[in-house]
Amino acid sequence: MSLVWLIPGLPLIGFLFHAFLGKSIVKSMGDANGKKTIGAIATGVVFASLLISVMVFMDLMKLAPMDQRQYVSLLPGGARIPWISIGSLHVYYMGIIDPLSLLMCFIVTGVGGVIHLYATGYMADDKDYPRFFTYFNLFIFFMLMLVLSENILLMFVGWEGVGLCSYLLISFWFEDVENSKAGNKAFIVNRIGDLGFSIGVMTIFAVFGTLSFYTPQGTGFLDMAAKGITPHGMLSVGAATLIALLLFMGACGKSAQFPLYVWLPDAMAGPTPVSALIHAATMVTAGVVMITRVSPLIVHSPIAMMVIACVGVFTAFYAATIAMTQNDIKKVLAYSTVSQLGYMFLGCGVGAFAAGMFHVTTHAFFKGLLFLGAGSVIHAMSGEQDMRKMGGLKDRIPVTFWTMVCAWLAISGIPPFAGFWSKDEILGSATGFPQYGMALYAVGMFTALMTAFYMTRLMMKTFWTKPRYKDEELGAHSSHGSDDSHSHDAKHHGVHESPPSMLISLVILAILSVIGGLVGIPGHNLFDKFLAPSVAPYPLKDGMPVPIGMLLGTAFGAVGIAVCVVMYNRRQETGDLLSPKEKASNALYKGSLNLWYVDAAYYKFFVTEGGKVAEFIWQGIDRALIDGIVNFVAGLLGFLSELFRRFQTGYIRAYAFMMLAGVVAVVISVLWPFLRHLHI
Amino acid sequence: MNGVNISEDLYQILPLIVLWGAACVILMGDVILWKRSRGITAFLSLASCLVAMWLVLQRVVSGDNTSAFHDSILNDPLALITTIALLVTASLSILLAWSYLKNRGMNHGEYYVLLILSVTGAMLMASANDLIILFIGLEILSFSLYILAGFSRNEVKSQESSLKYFLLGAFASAFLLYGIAMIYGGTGSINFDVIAKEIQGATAPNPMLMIGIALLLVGLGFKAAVIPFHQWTPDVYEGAPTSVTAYMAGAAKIGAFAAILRVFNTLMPFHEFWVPAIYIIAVLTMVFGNLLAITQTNVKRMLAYSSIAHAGYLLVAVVSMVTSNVTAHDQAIEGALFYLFAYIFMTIGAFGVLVYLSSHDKDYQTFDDIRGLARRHPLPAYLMMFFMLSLGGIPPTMGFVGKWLIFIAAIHSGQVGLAIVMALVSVAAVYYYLKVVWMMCFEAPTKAPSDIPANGFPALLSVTFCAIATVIFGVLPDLMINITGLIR
Repeated sequence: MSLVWLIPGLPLIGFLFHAFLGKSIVKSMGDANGKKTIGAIATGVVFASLLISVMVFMDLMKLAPMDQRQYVSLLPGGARIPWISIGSLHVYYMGIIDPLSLLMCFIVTGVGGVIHLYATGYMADDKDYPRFFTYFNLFIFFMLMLVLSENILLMFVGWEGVGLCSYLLISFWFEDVENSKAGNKAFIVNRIGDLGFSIGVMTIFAVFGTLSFYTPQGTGFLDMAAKGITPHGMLSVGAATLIALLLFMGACGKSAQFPLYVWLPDAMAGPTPVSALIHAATMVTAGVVMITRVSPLIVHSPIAMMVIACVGVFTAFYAATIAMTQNDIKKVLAYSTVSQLGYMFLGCGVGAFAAGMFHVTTHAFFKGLLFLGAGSVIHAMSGEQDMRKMGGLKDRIPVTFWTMVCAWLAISGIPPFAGFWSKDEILGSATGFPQYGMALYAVGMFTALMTAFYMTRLMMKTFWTKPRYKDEELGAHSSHGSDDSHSHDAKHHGVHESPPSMLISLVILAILSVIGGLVGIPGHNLFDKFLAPSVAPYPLKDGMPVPIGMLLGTAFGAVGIAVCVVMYNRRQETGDLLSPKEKASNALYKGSLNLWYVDAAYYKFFVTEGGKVAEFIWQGIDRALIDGIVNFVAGLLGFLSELFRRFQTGYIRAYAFMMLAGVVAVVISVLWPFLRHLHI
Repeated sequence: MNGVNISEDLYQILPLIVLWGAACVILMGDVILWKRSRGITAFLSLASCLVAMWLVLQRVVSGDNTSAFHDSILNDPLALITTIALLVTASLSILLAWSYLKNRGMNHGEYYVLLILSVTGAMLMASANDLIILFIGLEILSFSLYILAGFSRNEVKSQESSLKYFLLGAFASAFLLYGIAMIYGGTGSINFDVIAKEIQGATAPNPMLMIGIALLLVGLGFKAAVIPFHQWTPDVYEGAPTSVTAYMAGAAKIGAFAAILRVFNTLMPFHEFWVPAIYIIAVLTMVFGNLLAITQTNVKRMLAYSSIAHAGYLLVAVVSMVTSNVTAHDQAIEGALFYLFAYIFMTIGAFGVLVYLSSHDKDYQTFDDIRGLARRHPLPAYLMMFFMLSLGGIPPTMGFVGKWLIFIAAIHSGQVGLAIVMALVSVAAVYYYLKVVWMMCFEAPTKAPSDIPANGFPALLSVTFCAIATVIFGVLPDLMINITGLIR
C-alpha cells in the first residue's frame, strides 16, 4: 500500500524524463538507439506501474470485502499536504484503493503498457518520437490520477489532464491543419460536457459540504449518499437528480454519448496507438468509471438512471447505424466505440454498474485489439485507410488477421469470447429494469445484430474479398494527410506484416479477448463479486432467464455475421453491396454515410451561426460599448491630468502660495469642530 | 525620569554616534589621508551604515526599548524598524552613487558624508520623543538634502532644484516650528509622553494646541510630499542627481512618516479634529498624485508623482490607525511600515536602474531614453519591469502585499471610502507604470544600441538586491511581517 504513489508517479517521471531529455537522448545516442531507449523507458514505467498495481491488489485481496477501501496518499512517502484548504473546503492529494480503482489501474497500465509496446514499433519512423511518448506517459499519469483520486476535484484534474493529452495526441501531426481541427473539435465538445461536470462538482459541495468520495470517518459524500443523508438532513431526490444529470453531462462529453459524440470519430486523426489507448480502451470509458464511482448517488434518482439508460441505448443504436456504411476502417471502429460505450451506459442506467464496468474491461481488450489490428492493416497497406481499396489481406498478414478474428468474434457477441459475457450481462440486467426494461433490451439486442453485421462487413472488406489494389502502387503515393504518415523506405513497399513489437501486442490482447470474459460467467461471476465493494447495489427484478438471454444473444450475433458473410460472398469482386446507382438513390444509405447530417447541422448552427453571434458580441458589445466606456474614462483621466498639470508652473511663489492655501485649509479643518461649537 | 546615567544615554544613541563619528573621520580622511580615492570613502560610509544597522538589529533582537536623554529619545520598535529602513536606504544609495558620481563628474567625498549625516537626521526623527528633537532631526535631514540636491554643480537644473527645495523647505520648517510653539503653548510641554498625558485628562481641547497640530501636519506633510504641499517634489526629483533622488525619495519619506505615525498616535484622543484634514489630504494626494503622473514624459518626474501617490496610500494607513479595534490599529501601523519597506525597495530600485544606465555623456531620464531598452540592455530593463509591477501593486511583488495590508487595515477600521478610492486610483496608476514597461519592451529603440552602461557593479548590486527583496517579500510577506509585527 505504501507504494501506491508510484503507480501514477512512475509515468509522471517518464513524462518528465522524455519532456526534458527526450530530444537530447535522440541527438546524443543516435536516432535508432535513442528511440529504443525512449521507447523502453516509456513502456517500462507503465509496466512497472502495472507490477505495483498487482502488488497492491495482492495486499487488498487479503482484506475482508468491507475493508477493501483503503485511503492512501498520492504524494511520495505518504505525505499529507493539502492541495486546497479554503474555509471548509479541504482537498488532499489522496487516493482510494478499492476494486474499482484497481481494476482501472490494471486496464490503464496493462492495456496501456501493451499499446505502448505496440507504439514503439508503430511510431519508429516518426521524427517526433520523444514528443509522442512524452504525451503518452503523461496521459497514463493523468488517467491514473483520474481513477485513483479520493475526491471528485482531483478526479476532475485527471479528467481534464487526459482531455489535454487527447487533444495533444489527436493533433500530434499538427502540420496537417485537418488534424489540428480534429483536436480542437474534441477539446471544444468536451468543454461542453466539462461545464456540466464542474457545475456538478460545485453542486456536490453545496449539497454535501465535501468533495471526498469516501473518508475513513464516513463523511465523504458517497458515504452520506449511501445512507441517503446530507449534513442538513435527508438527501432529496431533486438534489440527487441534479447532481447525477450534471455529472452525466460530463460523462457524455468524455465518453462520446449522444449528442456530444461528434468529436470521437474525428479524433481518429491521431496516430493509431492513440486511437487504441485513449479513444477506445481507457479515456473514453472515464465517464463510465465516474458514473460507477458515484453510483451510490445515482441510484437515488430514478429519473437520472432512466436518462442514462435511454441515452446509452440510443447512442448504441444510433452509432451502429452510422458504422454500417463508413469506408474508413478507423471510422467504423470509432462509431463502434461510441456504440459500445452506449452499452456501458445502458448498464449503468439500469443499475448494473458492475456489468457496465465488465464491458469497459472486455471492451478495452477487444476494441484496443481492433484498433491495433487496424493500425497493423494500415501499416501493411502503407498508410491506406479506405477499406474500398483493401481486400484479401487474410493470407498476407496472418498474425494480424487471426488476432483480428478474435476481436471480431468478441465484439459480435459470440461465446466464449470476451464481449459476449459482458454484453449479455448488460442486456440481461436491462430486462430486469422496472421501467421499459424490455424495450431497452429490444433496442440493445437489435443493435447487437447490427454490430455483428458491420464488424463482419469490416472483416469481409479487409480480409476476405478480392484485393482491390496493386502491390507496386502501395507506398508510392505514401500518405495523404491521413493516419500513418511515417515515411516508408524501399523495403516497405507492398503489403507487409508488422514488426514483432506490434505483433506481440496484438497476440497479448487477442488472448485477453478470448479468455478475458471468463471471469464473468453467469453463476460464477467473479467479476461482480470482486467489484461489489465499490458499486452501489441496485435491486433489479427478475428479468429474462439467463440461459434464454444467452441463447438469444448468441443467435443475434450469429445471424448478423451469417447475413453479412452471405451477402458479401456474392460481391467478392467489388467488395461493395450496393452499386453506385443504388447508393445514389438509397436515402438510408446516404443518411448513414453522411452521419445523418448531424455534424453538418452542428457546424451550420454552432460554428457558422454561432460565429455570427460571437462577431456581434465582439464588435457590437465589446468594441463599441465596453471599449467605448473604457476609452472614455481613459480619455477623461488624460484630459484632467493635462489640465491639472498647468498648476505646476515651476515658480516658487506659486508653490508657496499653494502651500499657504493648504495651511489655511488645514487649520480651518482642524478648528472646524470648535467653530461649530461657537455658533451653536 | 531616569536619564541620570550619561553613558547609558549615549549607549542608546550609539548608532547615531557611530555614524556621526564616521562622518567626521571620513570627511577628514577624504581630504587628508586618501585624497582622490573615493572608493575608500564610499566603502567606509557603507561600512559605517552597516555597523549602525548591526547595532540596531542587536537592539531589535534584545528587545529592550528604553528612552534616553530625559525621555526625549525613544528607541521603541517603531523607531527601530524605521531606522532599519533608513539604514537600508542609505546603504543602497551609497552603492548606487559609487560610480554614478564618477561618471557624472561630481566625485566629491562630501557626498557620502552628507548622505550619512542626513540619514542620522532621519533616524533622529524616527526616535524623537520630543518636538525639539523631531525638529532638529528634520533640519539635519533637510540641510544635507538641500546640498545634495544641488550636488551637480555644473547643471542649472540641479542648482534650481536645490534652491527650490531650500526655499520651500524653509517655508515649511517655519510652519513646523510655529506649530511646535503653539503645541507648547497649549500643553506646556514638548515631550510626547507629557502631551499625551495632558490631553488624556483634558475635557475640551485647546484651540492653540489644535492650530499647533495643524501646522505640525503641514511641516511633516511637506517632507512626506503630500498634496497640497507637494509641488516641490517633481521639480526637485527631476533636477537633483538621480542617485540623490533615489536616496531622498526613500529617506525623507521614511523620516516624515515615522514622525507622522508617532505624533498622530500620540494625538489619538483628539482624532475627531485632525482626521478630517488627513482624510482629505489622503484623498487629494492619491487622486492627484496618480492623475498627474499619467501625462509625465520624464521617468524621474513620473516617479516623483508616483512617490506622492504612495504617500497618499500611507496616509490611508494613518487614518486607519484611528479605531477602537486594537487589532485594526496595529494592522494599520504594520501595514504602513511594510509599505515603507516596499516603497524603498521599489523606488530606489526604479531610480537605481536609471542611475545604473547613466553614463558620462547621458543621464537617463526621459521616456525617449528608455524606449526599446529591453533590446539594448535586457537585464536593467527586466529589473525595471519588476519595480514597475511592484509599484503598480501587481502580485507577487512587495508592492501588492503592502497595498493589500493597508487596504485590509482600512476596511477593518471602517474606512471603506478610503479603501475604495485607493483601489480605484491604483487601477489608474497601473497605466503609467505599465507605460514604462511598454516603452522598454515593445517600442523600437531611438538610440544606437552601442552605448554600454558604465556604472558597473555596485549599482547593479544595489538594484538587484532591491529586485530580489521586492519579489521575496512579495512571495513570502511573512518574513517582513515578522519584523513589522514587533510593534505589537
